[in-house]
Amino acid sequence: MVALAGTEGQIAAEEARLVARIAAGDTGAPAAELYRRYGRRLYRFGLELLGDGRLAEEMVQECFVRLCRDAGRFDASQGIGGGYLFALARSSAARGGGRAQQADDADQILDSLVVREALDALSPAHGDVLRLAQDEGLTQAQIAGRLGLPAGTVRTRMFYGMQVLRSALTERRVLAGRGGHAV
Amino acid sequence: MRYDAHPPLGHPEAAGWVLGALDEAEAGAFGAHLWSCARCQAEVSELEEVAKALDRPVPATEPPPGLQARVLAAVRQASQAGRPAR
Repeated sequence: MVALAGTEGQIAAEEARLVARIAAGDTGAPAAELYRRYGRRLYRFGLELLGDGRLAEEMVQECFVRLCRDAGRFDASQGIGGGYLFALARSSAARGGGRAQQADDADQILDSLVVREALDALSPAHGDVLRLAQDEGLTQAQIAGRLGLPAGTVRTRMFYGMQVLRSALTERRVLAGRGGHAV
Repeated sequence: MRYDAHPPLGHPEAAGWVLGALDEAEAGAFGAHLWSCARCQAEVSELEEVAKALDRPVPATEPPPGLQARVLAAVRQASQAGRPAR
């Protein structure tokens, strides 16, 4: 039902391969893949840290250029691309006088971005139940009434949805621990 | 008793509990179980991290459509600049 085990190891291995290809000079497809995975989150992270769209765009670009430049300097077979991108983003925002310079605050922003992305990726059936509880403060019984569903269905969907979000958050933190940087 | 057996992923009520979405009677019953169940306390503690992350507003803006192309072009340029000429 929920993919929990093994996901983090698989992602770390995939990203080590992408970084190794970049280190070997193949920047096209691997960089595009990392952008597909993290471009949106990185941009939103920059927006929140820097409070300006233009600066956020520059930050994203700088992070990718530095990742590709640095990939050859380190052990590429161990490198987690996403982890490094967000470590660069934090350091870049701190230098630029970002609003959230505290590491804890940056971590919380990343947690929230990851969890919101996971919420957006849920099916509407599961996502709507969580949004009605979280954003509108409705109880399960009220949600059941609003959506015309049995209370048991709402309870199960809320449970499943929260498990998926938890799994996304765990994955981010595990990868952050592995790479030494927040993903 | 409803909370005697633990499902593998925990009790579904834990999700409603952390989101404040249980009605009074359900919250009372689950709370009474939670009081003495370390496993559910750990479960709730993890789900509270999720609820806390959901609670913080973050930008939902999509990146500008041209950003990906600009980023990849800059990467290509930097990569070529960093290599010895053949």
